[in-house]
Amino acid sequence: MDNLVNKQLIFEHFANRVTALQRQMIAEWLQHPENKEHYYAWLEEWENRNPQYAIEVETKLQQSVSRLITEQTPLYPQVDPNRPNRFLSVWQWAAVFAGLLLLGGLYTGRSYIEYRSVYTGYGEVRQVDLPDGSTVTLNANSSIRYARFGFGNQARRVHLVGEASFAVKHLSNQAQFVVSTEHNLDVIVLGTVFSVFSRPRGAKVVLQRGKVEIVQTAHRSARHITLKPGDLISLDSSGFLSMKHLPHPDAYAAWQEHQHEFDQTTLSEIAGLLEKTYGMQVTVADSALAQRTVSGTFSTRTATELSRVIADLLDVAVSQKGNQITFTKPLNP
Amino acid sequence: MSQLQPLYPDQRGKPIKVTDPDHSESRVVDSELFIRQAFDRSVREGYELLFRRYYRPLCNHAVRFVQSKEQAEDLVSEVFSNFWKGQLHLHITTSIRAYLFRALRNRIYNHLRDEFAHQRPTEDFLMDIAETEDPQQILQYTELYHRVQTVVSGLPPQCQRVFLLSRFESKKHKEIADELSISVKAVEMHITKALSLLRTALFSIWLVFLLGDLIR
Repeated sequence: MDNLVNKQLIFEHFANRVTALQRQMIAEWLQHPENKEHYYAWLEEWENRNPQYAIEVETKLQQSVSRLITEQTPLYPQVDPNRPNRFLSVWQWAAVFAGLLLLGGLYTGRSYIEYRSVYTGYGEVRQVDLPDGSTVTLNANSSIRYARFGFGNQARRVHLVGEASFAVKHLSNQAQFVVSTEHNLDVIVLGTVFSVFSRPRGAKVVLQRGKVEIVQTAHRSARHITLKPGDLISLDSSGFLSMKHLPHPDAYAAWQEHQHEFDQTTLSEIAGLLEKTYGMQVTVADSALAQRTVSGTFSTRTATELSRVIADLLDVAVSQKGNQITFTKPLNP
Repeated sequence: MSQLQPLYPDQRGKPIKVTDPDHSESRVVDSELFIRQAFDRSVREGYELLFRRYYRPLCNHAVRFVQSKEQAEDLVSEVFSNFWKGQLHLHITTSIRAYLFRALRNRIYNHLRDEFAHQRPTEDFLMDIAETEDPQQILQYTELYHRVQTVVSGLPPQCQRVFLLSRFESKKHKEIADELSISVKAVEMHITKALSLLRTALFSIWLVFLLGDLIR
């Protein structure tokens, strides 16, 4: 009978599609404590596969943790009720109270102080500069969280929900760069450009350049896999890992290059973007020119396209030789 | 107890042949090893991992019973904070997942009974830890949300729309009235109707549960 009750049947039962006889079978199967574990494991999987609405986890977690930490209040002074009351003036009590409030506030705000989170809404793509000089391009409806202080001193850890591309800067202290996801999948970077996708339906990692190592942390002996450029690794919601090689890995990260948003952005900042994102060397002929600004959203795929659009807008000349881009004032004003 | 009939056997159900043995079985328990190790390092770290992993499926599960985002998330949060306060990672002998689902389903059951059968909820801090759970109870809890779903999906379209806006989205009666261009009175009428249908449907389940308790 045990082999008749399997995941498929239990899924049918969750979906209210079993017969009376099957129900009886399941009831008997559930007599074994081990099968109860299977039941709940499958329930978890089934719920992950059949979302009812968009559930925000990260902010709820922060709320929950800060509430629990403040509730513990280990900071109250221990007062022995048998001892004669010490005489504190109203003002001294007020000072104590204010001190407690302040400590409580610090405690509550701790996660806010410790971590910085960046969120993107639907249809919003955003570039985030990390304190160590690495850049993250965050796709729509995603978020990252990283330590506000000391990022890059030892390990650089970024927690990702959603989809993002990373251009990781190599540091002289050899600090590891780790992207962790909700799928118990850690990406350890050995220097490089890659994209990570971590949505409820699974996780994917595509390597564009360099070398990364994937660690499936949930596994008993954490599995390590090293990727070569063009490798795509996928993890589905039941924890199954698969790997294949892509001929055009950049296609997986194409979303990030479609859109640039500028809001009073100076030409020198745009030059920086061209350098960081596209690896160009950009020269702006004079400093007055470098301070001129551009606003708007531009859909461009290449550095050449972007620099031409900007030059047109500012009515300046642009020339490109290899990966050298130069902005100059037009010769005949 | 074993004579208990399923509340609504489904006609579509067919005997199922087993062709693919499931691969994930061996991992059922030890996939939590990582979380347990994190708890050994620090409660907070373990808690964060636990929350990130289970908050979403648990809310998703709870909302099937209570049909309200807010209530579902509150119930799930209570289960989690209870876990932290009681340092339950040190006490439970099943997987944490099994504990969380069981505790949540107990809470939901009490919550619904309180809401629809007007009975005082029992103080269930200890009930959360109770690990003896018989198969019939497990199945009945699952069938409880089936029943809720059947009632809600059987509501007339407008009544269902109003009910979900009010309960799932937690919108005010006035907002719903404006959105659907109907009177506030009509909104209240629809909600009353939906709730009374739910009450009737769930009442028969309380009877079954109650009988089960007596026989046990």
